Amino acid sequence: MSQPMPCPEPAQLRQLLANELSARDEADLVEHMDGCPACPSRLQEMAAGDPSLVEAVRYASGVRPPGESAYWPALEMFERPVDQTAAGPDTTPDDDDLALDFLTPSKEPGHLGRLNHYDIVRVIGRGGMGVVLHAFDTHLQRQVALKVMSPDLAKDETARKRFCREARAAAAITDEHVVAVHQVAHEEERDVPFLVMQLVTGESLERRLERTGPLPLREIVRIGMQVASGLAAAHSHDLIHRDIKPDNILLEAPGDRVKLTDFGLARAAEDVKLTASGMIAGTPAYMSPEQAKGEPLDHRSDLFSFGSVLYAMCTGHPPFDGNSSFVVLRKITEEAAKPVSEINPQIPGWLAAIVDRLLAKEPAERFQSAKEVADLLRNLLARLESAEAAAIPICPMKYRKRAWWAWGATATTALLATVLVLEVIGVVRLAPVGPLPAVAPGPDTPSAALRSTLNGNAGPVWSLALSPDDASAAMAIDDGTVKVWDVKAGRVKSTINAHKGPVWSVAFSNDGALLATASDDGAVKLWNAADGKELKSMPHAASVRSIAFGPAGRLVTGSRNGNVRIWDTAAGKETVTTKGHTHMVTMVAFSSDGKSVASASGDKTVKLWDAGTGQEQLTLTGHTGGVYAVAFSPDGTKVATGGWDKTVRVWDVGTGDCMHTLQGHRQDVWAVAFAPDGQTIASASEDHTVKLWNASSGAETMTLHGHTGTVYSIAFSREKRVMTGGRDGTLRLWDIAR
Amino acid sequence: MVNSPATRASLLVRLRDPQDRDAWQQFFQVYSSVVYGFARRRGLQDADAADLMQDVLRRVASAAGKLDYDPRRGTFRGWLFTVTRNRLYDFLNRRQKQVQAAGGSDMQERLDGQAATANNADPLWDQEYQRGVAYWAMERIRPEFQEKTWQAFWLTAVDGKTPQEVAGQLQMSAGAIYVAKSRVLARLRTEVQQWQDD
Repeated sequence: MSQPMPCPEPAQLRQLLANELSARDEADLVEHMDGCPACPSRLQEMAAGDPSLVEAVRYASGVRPPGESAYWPALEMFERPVDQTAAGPDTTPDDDDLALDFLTPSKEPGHLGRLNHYDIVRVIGRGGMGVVLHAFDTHLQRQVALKVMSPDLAKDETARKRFCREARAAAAITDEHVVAVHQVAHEEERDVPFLVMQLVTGESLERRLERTGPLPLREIVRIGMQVASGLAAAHSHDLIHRDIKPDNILLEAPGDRVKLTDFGLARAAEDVKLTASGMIAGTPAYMSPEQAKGEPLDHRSDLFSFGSVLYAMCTGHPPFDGNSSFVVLRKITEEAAKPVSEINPQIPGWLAAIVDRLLAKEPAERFQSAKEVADLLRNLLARLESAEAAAIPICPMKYRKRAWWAWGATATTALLATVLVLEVIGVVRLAPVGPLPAVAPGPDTPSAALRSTLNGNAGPVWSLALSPDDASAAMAIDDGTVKVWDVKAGRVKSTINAHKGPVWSVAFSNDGALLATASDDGAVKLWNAADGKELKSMPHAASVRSIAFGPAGRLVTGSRNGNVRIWDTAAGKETVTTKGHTHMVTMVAFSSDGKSVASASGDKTVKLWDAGTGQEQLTLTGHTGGVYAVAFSPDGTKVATGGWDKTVRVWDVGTGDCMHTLQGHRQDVWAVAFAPDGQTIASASEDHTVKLWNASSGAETMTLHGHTGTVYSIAFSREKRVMTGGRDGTLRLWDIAR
Repeated sequence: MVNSPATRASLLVRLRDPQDRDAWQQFFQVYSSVVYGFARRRGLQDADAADLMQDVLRRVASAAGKLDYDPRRGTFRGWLFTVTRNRLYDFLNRRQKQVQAAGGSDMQERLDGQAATANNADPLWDQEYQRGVAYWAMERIRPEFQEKTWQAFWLTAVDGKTPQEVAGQLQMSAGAIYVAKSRVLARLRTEVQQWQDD
């Protein structure tokens, strides 16, 4: 044997670790390690660096929770791709995969086995907590479904309690739209608890949607109504389902009667033993934003999920899709769903409005109870059915194509919508808004400036106008109505059934006595602002997009065919007609002195006209796409515009020069307005925000967050307040005084 | 074979992209066991700990893209701890109220203690974090080693046996076992580093 080798240099140890030594040198070093009391530790220190790694490794094997732990199903949600849906009660499972060893052999041939006095016919499916079996109750001689808790899970006391809670929860509800739970039973020998439930034959809504895609309108309304009424029954017992999704909605054959099932996650509202939001297994596609964020829930969470189910029935897929759970979760909390009618144009506006409202991110902005929705849908269904019986076309099949104006909103339902939509309107609220949260605001986190939100409109607010005394606000709504709000009281003073198509524009006369409205149906109507009586109708050949009052009762109108007209409303006579625009006129404005009118157009220009003669005074060019908005400064020296190119531009009326191009909006700009003092310009955008700018410097001074859809209209009041309305159907009042 | 230093911070950077599924998958794998383990060690039962774990990860996932942690103010690990701690605190608080109602006084004291510790920096959290990271790192690097090398590492570093004890079983000299163990540790160290953002 050779002389013991001296301890190696650090460099040699490094080479040994990196596997860089010759075989011979390595063998020598390994041999040295065998006998040297110091070198193994030196080597390990060099390898591991921080001793905490060695320590962590020592205990690391305890990290992995045992196989029967609830940890694994909880983790599944994050690991599974979303397109691979959870095995619901309807999927046919791989029999090898199921441990059915809690069954005893059956006396009857052809049965899988026996559990107490139940003969097991087949496996229906498996859920998060166990397996669902089709069985025959040999005592009562009837078919039943058994939900057997997995024996592994049954060892866990908490899981067991939870399982029994499902039983109690569901058993408490007797409703024709909830699967009946007959009893909670228990298998002694293996100590396995199980539920005995009504056997529902048919298929789940999930399976139905997979087979057929989007459902017919009447089916959507009928199934929706029954789901809502099952939910209402659960909520009346203070139960929140927490997992409303097509998988848990069974359609019982024949006739497809809805039965809600799987109250596995349902919790009594007062139950504080477990975490607030409830564990979710499977796809998160139907979760509410509160669930996605892990925040405390109330029954309105179910209403959001129900909205997602309605959405899926309309379009064939849930509103928030993604290739993984976390993408879906993020979309649920941050993004607005693509409007249903954009995907399926056959969905009428009133149904789209119901879905939109259920999908509001803020629980307070949704319908407030399942019963309310159930009643509404029941009513709508009755009307659909009677209309069908009378052979009146219900669903507007002709879908108006709107060229570049293709936001693809609701198809207008001429016959029914105006009637039906009145019921969609719901409760009017004046919601106070709390202080700004400490965290940075997300896209739709309301700004501190938001004072109140007036809710309860039946669809997008296309235009709004404030009366000269700031006491009333008129809103032009997609369903053909105009609502006049008492601003202080926060309630609707009157609703005018103004037009057959969407109301595009509304304006108060300068003395506040008149209200003018314009619509797709070509009519411009004048109303008595005090009592809502129709005074006059001024016919137009084409849809009128925008109107504005000037002094002395003059009214300017901008049409889809590119025409700008000026009317003497007292006489009901047209005084000026211009045909200078080559595309639709999107917005018109009157200067305060009444001498000029401005028109913004899809032809990328804004034109200024002499209000008396109709002479073209100026053409403002610079916008790189359609111009959607125009406003005069109060002193008439400036014009602000906005549009497709996301910019707001400020122009000198004297020279026609562009003074400022204001950039900051991330989407199209749909409205601009000057404050009464002329110092501030407000702009409203498809990016859901309203921005305030310094009119002289062009500096951005404030961004108002809170709308959950495109903002279409802005009005300033004299007391440093801004009112806005838009796609989300709300009217919001902002305090911008600093 | 050894990861370049570029991967070190990369996982946490990649998490800012909600579409980066691999990064998130890895993230969920590691952090779910950390949060779960921590909750268990703080006295929660299995189902409740799983619940809490899901709550926390959902919160993190829904914040993806605009991750509301600020790397200038603290570490990702610290941020995750804050989120977890707050959830745990909520939970214990609610349970406490329930216990109060039931009148169990010594349970009460125990919970008080838990709540108080949970409020401050928590050595248990750091431990659980390091163990979780180490465990999943081991899972990932294992295929890079020959079975025998891995066994030598596992039996000594994880199971805590001495090389002399296992030399016969492995048919390796103690020296060779030392070397094998250290090589795996060196590799593990680089793998673990991409989770150390402080």
